[in-house]
This record gives sequence, structure tokens and C-alpha cells, in this order.
Amino acid sequence: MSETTNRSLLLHGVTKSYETATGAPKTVLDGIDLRVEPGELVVLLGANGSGKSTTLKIASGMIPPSTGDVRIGQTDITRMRGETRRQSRMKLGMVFQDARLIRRRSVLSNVLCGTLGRHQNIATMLGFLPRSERPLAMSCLDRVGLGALAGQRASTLSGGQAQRVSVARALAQKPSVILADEPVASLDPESAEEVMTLLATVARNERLAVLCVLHQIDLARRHATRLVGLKKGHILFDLPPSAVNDAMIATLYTRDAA
Amino acid sequence: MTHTDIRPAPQSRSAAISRFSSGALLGWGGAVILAIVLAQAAHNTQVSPTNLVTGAGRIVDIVQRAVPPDWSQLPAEWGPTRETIDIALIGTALGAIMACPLALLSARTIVPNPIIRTLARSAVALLRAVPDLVWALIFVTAVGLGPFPGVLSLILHTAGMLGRLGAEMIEDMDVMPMEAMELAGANRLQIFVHGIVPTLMPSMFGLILYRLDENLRCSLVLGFVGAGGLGFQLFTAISLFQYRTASLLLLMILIIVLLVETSSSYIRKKIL
Repeated sequence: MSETTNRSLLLHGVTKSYETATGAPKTVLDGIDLRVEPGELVVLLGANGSGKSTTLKIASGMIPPSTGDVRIGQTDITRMRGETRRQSRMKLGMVFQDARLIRRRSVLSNVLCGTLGRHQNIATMLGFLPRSERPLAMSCLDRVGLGALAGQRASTLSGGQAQRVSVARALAQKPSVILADEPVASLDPESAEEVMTLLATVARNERLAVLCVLHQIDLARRHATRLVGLKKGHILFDLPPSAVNDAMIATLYTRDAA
Repeated sequence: MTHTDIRPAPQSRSAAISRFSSGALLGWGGAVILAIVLAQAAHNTQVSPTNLVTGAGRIVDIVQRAVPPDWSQLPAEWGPTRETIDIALIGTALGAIMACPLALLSARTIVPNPIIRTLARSAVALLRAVPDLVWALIFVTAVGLGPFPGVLSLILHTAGMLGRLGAEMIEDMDVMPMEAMELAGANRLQIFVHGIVPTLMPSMFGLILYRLDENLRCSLVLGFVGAGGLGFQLFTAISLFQYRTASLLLLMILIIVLLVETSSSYIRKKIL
């Protein structure tokens, strides 16, 4: 089986509808088709309420779609439950807006927490982190350029460093796909550039499919392999950055006349 | 209503002035009510400065009979001193262990089931509501005089206090890192052990040390109802008019309380 079919992320015909307080249905996503291949960094763009975060939540399994399915390679992970759901989650590394580290633990321990899914044994349930994964965790930290801070407490890191540790934690999962939900929203421009460079490098070098929600158009243009524009639950464009002009971007953020 | 009455600026001005006036009125009214409540409380509790002045001579007499402390009793009081510290230590430790499941079961973020949560919260409320002195009286009746009833009463009261504070701490905890662990494939026990425990442990340990400090003072009072330790010795000395022994015991109590207070506050600062 080819790499593409094994490690790609596919959203097929994904729809999500909610029932509003008045009982009327509201469609947030309307039949989305999206494919992210290994080595690609695909950035989702769109105004608030366009469906970007919902797309990411459905892809991560945090919420189920109303219709359609999510696949990693050939595996349909849409409606998995129990142990199979847990197993499938390990293939998805998440990077959030805030790094979500255990602040009182060391940087290395936080990265090792990403490996717990593979070690469901007595030792890890008694509070011991898997020693066998230490070399992997250290190599993940080296890859994000923070190997020297392995022993430091997570609470002492800057926002950019913490976000890079969260990327290392996601890598320690040995995922097929990385989903990043506004990973630079709370960072200064320099740190934002670092984190996006890191995600692009990870996608390219580790052959991972990376799907990222961003509001910073410049960053998206510089680092993405493809830009996907969402508006009112529909994909307006899915193109390489060079093919997306300012007018297309403006369309995403302008309100339509009622 | 005239045209000028409905202009927005004067209307909001007069509303603001009226709010200000009613606020001041409420403040003064509250102060008067508070003064009345305090006056009746003083009357009910027979607060009398005259009695204090006439009794001052007797206090001076007791103080004169209490100095200097009877240092010859010092070796005999080491045993009860150790007993007091031990009552506080074991009472705090076992109380803290008992508080852990109560805190977890009382926290909304851990137990979504309202029935289990209400049961746990009721148990915590009962343990806290009954003063440790009352628990001690009950246990002295049940298991007899000595340090054991003191330990039992401290366990229950500590479990109640730490159970409540622990539950609040769990509910206030940032759960986002735990959500990230769950999404990475960790199971519930792993999330608890690797995420929740390290996050809460320093604050919980700080609370336990604070409780140890409190329990040491409580264990002294518990001695007055027969629950052992220095308190029991102090009660006996005062009952037998041995004021010099009593002053020695008070001095020892002061030193122990200060030592524990200083060391626990130092450790709390270090770990938090």
C-alpha cells in the first residue's frame, strides 16, 4: 500500500448541523471534501463562524459529523468507540492555541505523556513514564530545537517554547496526521514564525499530513502547501498559495448583503 | 413632562445622583443595623468592662503565682509533648488520605452523576459542620480517655475540611492539558496519575501542611476533654492550681506552635 493511502487525511462529504435554541436547524458545514497528503501543510482560512474549527474538531474526533466520514489512510475513524477510538486518536497529533502542557512537570515528562497511549500497563498507571520512550522523546525535543530544556519545568517556558514542546509531544505520539488549531494565535510575530516554520518542516521531513487553522494570512501564504478558504460551511477555494490572490482572501472575510 | 426633562444628559445625571444618594443611605442604614446587632450580641454575652476591671486583680494574682515556670517538670512533660505532635501528625495524615476520595467524588468536573456528588458533598458537610471538640467528646465516650479519641476527631474534621477545599481546587483546575492527554490516547487512570495528580499535588500538600499547623493547635484544646497530650496536662495543672506547671506548659505550647507554623510556612513557600 502506498504512503499516500496509508497516511493521508480525508474528509468526505462532511456535514454538520446543529439545532438552534428556536429548534431550527443550522448547517455549519455543508458537504466538505478535503484531502491532506503526507508532506503537506494545508491551512484553513475563513472568518469566524465559517466552519474552520468545526472541521478540525470533526477531523480530531472531538465531535461527530452529521453525515460524511473522516479517514486516515484507509481507516474510517468517524464513529469509532472505546478502545478502537483511543487507538485511532493516537494517529492524530493535536496542537492547540494554548500549548496545554502540565505546567508543573518537566519538558521531557510532557513529551513522554504523548507516548502513554502506546503503554497501557501497570507501571504507567502507577505514575511511571515509559523509560523505553526516552530516546524518542529526546529526539522529538531535538527536532523542535529544545533538547537543552528537557529537564526544565514547563511553567518556565515562553509561549513560543511551550508551543514547540506541544509539537514535540504530538510527534512523540508517532502520528500520521497533525491537526493544529490556531497554533500561533497567542504568540508574538517572531515566535509565530518559528512555530509555523516548525510545522512546515515537520510536514515535509516527517512526511506527515498537517491541517492547520490560521487567521494570519501572511504566515499562511509563506508556509502552506495549500490554502483552503471556507465560507459559511462551504469550500470557496482549495489552491496553492501562489494561486490565491487578495480578492479571493477578501471574499472570505466580507459579509454578504442580507 | 417638559422637553428638557427627556434630554438624555440631565436624566442620566439625575439618575446617577439619585443612585449615589440611595447608595449612601443604604450604607448608613447598614451601619446602624450592624450596630444594633452587635449591641444585642454584647448584651446577650454579658460583655461587661466593669467585671473585667474588678477581675484584673485576680488575673494579676494568677500570673504572679505562675512565674517562674516550674522547670523541674520539664522532663516529665516531654512524653505529652510528643503525644500532642503525634496526635496532630497521624490525625492530619489519615484525614488527608480520607479526604482524597471525598474531594474527587465531590468535584463536578470528575463526577458528573449528581446523586453520587450530593452524597459525597453531604458527607463532607457533616464532617466539617461538627466541631472537632464535639467529635472528641463523642469518641472519648466511645473509646475512653487518651490520645486515640483525639486522633479520631482530627481525622474526621481534617477529612471534612480538606475534602471541601480539595473539591474546590479540582473544580478550579485547568482541564485543557488533560483533554490534550485524552486526545493523545491516554486512558482515564493515566490522565489522573500523570495529569491531575502533578497539577494538584503542590497545592494539596500546601493545604495539608496548613491543616497540620491548625491540627496542632486543635490537639491542644482536645486534651481539655480528655483526648491526651499537652492539653490534658494543662487542664490538669490548672484544675489542681499548679500555675507554675501551667505556665511551663503554655511556654512549651507556644514554642511548638511557633516551630510548626514557621516550618510549614517555609515548606509551603518552597513547594508552591
